[in-house]
Amino acid sequence: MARAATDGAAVERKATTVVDTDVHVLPRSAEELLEYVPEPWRSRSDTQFLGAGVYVPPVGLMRKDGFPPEGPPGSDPDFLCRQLLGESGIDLALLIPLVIRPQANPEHEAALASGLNGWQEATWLTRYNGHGRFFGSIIACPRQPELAVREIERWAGHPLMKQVVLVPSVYQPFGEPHFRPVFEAAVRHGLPVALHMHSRLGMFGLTPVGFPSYYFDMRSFHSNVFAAHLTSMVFGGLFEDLPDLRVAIVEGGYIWALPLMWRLDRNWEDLRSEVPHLRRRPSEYLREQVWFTTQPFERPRDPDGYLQTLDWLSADRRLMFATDYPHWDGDYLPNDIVRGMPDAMRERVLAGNALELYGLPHEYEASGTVA
Amino acid sequence: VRVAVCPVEELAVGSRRIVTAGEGGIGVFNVDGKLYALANRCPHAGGPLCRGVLTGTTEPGTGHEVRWVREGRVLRCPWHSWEFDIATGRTLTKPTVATKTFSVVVEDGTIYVEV
Repeated sequence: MARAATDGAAVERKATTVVDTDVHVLPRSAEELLEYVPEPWRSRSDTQFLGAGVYVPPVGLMRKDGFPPEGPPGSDPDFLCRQLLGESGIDLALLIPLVIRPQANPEHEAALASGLNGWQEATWLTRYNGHGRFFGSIIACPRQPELAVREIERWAGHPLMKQVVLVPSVYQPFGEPHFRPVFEAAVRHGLPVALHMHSRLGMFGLTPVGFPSYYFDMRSFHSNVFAAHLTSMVFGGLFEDLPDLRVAIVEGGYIWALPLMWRLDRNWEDLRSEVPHLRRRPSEYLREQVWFTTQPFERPRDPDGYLQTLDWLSADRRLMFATDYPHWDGDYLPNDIVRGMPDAMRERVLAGNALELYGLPHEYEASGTVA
Repeated sequence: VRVAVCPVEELAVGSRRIVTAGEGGIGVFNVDGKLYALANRCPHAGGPLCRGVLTGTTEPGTGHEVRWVREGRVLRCPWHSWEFDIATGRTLTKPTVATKTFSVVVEDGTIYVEV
């Protein structure tokens, strides 16, 4: 489809066929970010940035061919466009900056999150976004709900800020009442809330049976962190009380959600009287109000069982493609990930579900974008 | 089909070349004077395998000891770090999964791969 541009030349418009719902961009240096952080937080020497205090995978955090000529992976817009929009064929990218780590002091973390949003808006959403293919996330610190609400209010209504991102490394599950105002603020402004894993060291690495020794354990337990949060959110009445709340589970796996739903429903049949505020089966809240992203994708060996599972999970309505660029465990070939799915489901997973959830454009100007 | 890689003196011990051939190219490696050629496409997720680091791997020792072995003979994909035996193209965790290997010949001072 083409339309006339102001100079008379036709501007080619391309349909959005692949949306990447998990792209991590970084500042070139800590100083570049700290410019956007007010004092006294800017000068604190205990700030944990990406790479500091992180349980780094034994093979490194980044894909090895993701390093631009200068600066860390994800910091150079030309290089990112070439690899992600060009080689991987992504049409629109939803950015989730993970530059700062959960800090010990929640006010400190909230100030850094605020600086991160300001930096993201000035660079990736504005200066680097001539093509209009980048969309952003409001990063908020859930351990300081009041400041998180203030940060959501600050950006709500920005045309490119498409969701609120909360780091699920908190000391209590999200169904607890003191988190409620954060979810209410997102709902008030029509923003989905994404939960994205972050580094888990120290207390944040807690599993139901203690602390992991290996990166392997820690990574495998990401799904359990999300399962615990979702269970708490269901039984805490968050979904019941906020029917417009939409939650995206990013980089936490997917297939596990099915037996979780079966189990919650079974328990609800036996124990409904403990949670009379729930008016529907637990699985109905999860099916209606929770979305999932693909990476890192699990694919059972049996193709029929695999398709049956995707069907049981309503993947055609709730699963969204993600690369996790530029991390070591990313899924960089969209067509490989949707291989074996029926055509209609493929289209929904690669683009349709994300377009709907985030209200992204169905087409964009293809000219002057990627080398 | 025989594809020319480079003059033999240009592929020093420890170096590699990626030539345009097959799907995504073929990597030719000189490991301690022996030449190996592998498809530059990781069978796991399609990464550019031959641009990965050539390194070693771990093996269990007695008790909880971990030994570092096969130094310089294990190719790691730059995307997800899957490990491949440089000589056989087989992955170390799932030996039934392998990248394609090609035979390498040297003739009149030039290295060729047989595709």
